[in-house]
Amino acid sequence: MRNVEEKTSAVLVIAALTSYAFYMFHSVAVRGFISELSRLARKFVLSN
Amino acid sequence: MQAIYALLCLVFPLISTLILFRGSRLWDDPVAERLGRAVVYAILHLLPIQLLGALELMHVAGAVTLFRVALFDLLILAGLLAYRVRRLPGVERDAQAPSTTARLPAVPASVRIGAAVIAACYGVFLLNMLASYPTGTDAISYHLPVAVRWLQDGSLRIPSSREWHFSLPGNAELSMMTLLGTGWQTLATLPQLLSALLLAGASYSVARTLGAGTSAAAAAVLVLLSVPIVTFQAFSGYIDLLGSAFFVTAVALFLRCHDAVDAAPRRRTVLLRLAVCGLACGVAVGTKPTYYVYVGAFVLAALCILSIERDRHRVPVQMAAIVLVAAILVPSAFWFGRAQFATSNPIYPLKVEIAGHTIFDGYPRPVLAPPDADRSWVRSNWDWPIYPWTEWKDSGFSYGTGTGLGASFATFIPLGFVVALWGMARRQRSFWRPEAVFAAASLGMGVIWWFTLNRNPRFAIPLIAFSCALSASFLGYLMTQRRVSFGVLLVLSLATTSVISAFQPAHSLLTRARIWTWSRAVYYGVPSIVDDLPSGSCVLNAANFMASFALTGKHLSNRVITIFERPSPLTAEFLDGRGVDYVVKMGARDEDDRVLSELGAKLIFEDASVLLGGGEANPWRIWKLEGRSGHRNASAISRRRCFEL
Repeated sequence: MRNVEEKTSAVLVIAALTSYAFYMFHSVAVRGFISELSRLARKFVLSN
Repeated sequence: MQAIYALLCLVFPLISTLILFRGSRLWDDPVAERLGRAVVYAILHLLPIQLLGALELMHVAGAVTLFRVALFDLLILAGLLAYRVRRLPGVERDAQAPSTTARLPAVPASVRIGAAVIAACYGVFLLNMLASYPTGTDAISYHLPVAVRWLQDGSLRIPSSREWHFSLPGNAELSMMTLLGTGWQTLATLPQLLSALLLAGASYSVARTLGAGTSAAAAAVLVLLSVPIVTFQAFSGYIDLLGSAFFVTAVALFLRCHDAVDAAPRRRTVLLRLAVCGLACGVAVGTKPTYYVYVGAFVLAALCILSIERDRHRVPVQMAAIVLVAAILVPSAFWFGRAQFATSNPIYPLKVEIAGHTIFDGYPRPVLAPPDADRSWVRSNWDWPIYPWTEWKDSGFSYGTGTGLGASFATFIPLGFVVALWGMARRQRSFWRPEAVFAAASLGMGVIWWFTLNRNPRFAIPLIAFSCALSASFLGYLMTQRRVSFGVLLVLSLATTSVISAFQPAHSLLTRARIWTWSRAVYYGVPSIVDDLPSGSCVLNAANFMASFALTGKHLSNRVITIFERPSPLTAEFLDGRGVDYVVKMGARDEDDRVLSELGAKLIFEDASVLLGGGEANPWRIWKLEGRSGHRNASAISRRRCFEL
């Protein structure tokens, strides 16, 4: 029984982790944020 | 002086609420009790304004001013004091609140760190809010102009143009009106921030009712507060959060109303609890027509449940229905009456047609809610199931008042919802359990959102809150079984969304700090001359639909006719009839400029370098009509007020 509980919880944590990874790779918000940060960083470097 | 009256309009209802509940309780559960008191405070705040507004509409009383509202609030307070002095505790519960701190288990570190992350994110938003002015596209284009108009004019009536933006129910705008009266304009968005807290409390209560532990329910609330739609709305003048918060509160109180007590409560207590549920629903109904369908579905579901469980509470269903419906009408009937009075359609601006036959005339649905509006978030309906992970937005801004669910939501909630449904299907022999009924009701509301609310994400805030509450048990399971992995994932996902969300207010704040310009005109990108126009000037916004609130000026002293109310092109009849003093234009010259020039209007401002004002391609122009001979004559013959009342 304990083994089943452990397996279930492991599967669920992996599923949640996969969901998070999927979000990080596909979210337009994350991509937009990274590109905005890059733009600001370039601007900052060029201005110096 | 008006600022003091505005403050009194907020403080008197608060004292009245404290007096009303002094020595009595309606719920054993402390969270439910606080939610109930928040609802009663909202009612005591809104009702006097609505009553004065109704008297003004019937020409029984004069203008609705903050002084009169404060006086009315004082009378209510005095009445309650007299009632309390004569009659002590009326409800059977004892006055002592159960101790909440003594029985709270230790909160895991991940939840505490997550709470700190959310607090930091909200702190950045709050700092930006305090250093700026009310924001939000819909807010500055019509919610706030409506509130300013009521404040300036002392009348809540629908204008004779029947323009739909000025004909919607406006409980949120009543609070905005009061707070704008304080003179600190940024406070106008405070009801939304308080609504976020109310929504959090209600979702916590629902999660606890469904069996989640305190830490799991707290984690679910953190996920909810991290949802960008909730975060951005909390600091804007959008009204969806307020309506949603009161609706979710009604559901939370109802769930506590019928099954949270071990011993069956007295009939009177059950009816009082139902009345508070109804009042919360009524606040939502009086906020936005979106909640008509949600509240209608809730009332039907509630009556079904009360009917099935009538042996437990011993309240006849007919009596429960009367109490519930009457309570819903208390904070919303004014808006139905106002619409009936002006248009003969109680739910104006909605048009009601049955089999091609018009029952109530109004705006057809495609005008109020374009059928293809959801194409701003998805390219096809098949994209909706993956929306939490993609957050695609046609304008490019994935996080905002109407868009984005965030990393924590995508990580836990869809999975938690599926696990909750799966668990119910496996475990339960009988369907009749709170979580099963709640899950079914949530799915039903999802169907309503899909088919009747045009799949607009911000109309789904109640669904987002219910999904978080339903997933709380799943979060609790992971919290106990996989403490470290879950903790890392929770903090990481909350931090991801919080950093991206907070970037926008931080950027706005730093930009203004860099140029060190904090003026209202620069914040809204309008010519600063609008702040110096003579008090009471009638200004026609023919520039940009988002400029209406900005054009009222820093002292809210200009009367602004919004872009929604103007004819295109402008006509001498309209300008003279409304007594327009100034016309504000933006962009390339067009037919309006030609008409104004022919009418002899004088161009008093023309500049393409208004700071943050749209750039070289969008020069601002302000035409002055005062002094034109025809204008004076026309005004003398039929001078109508700027707001066409």
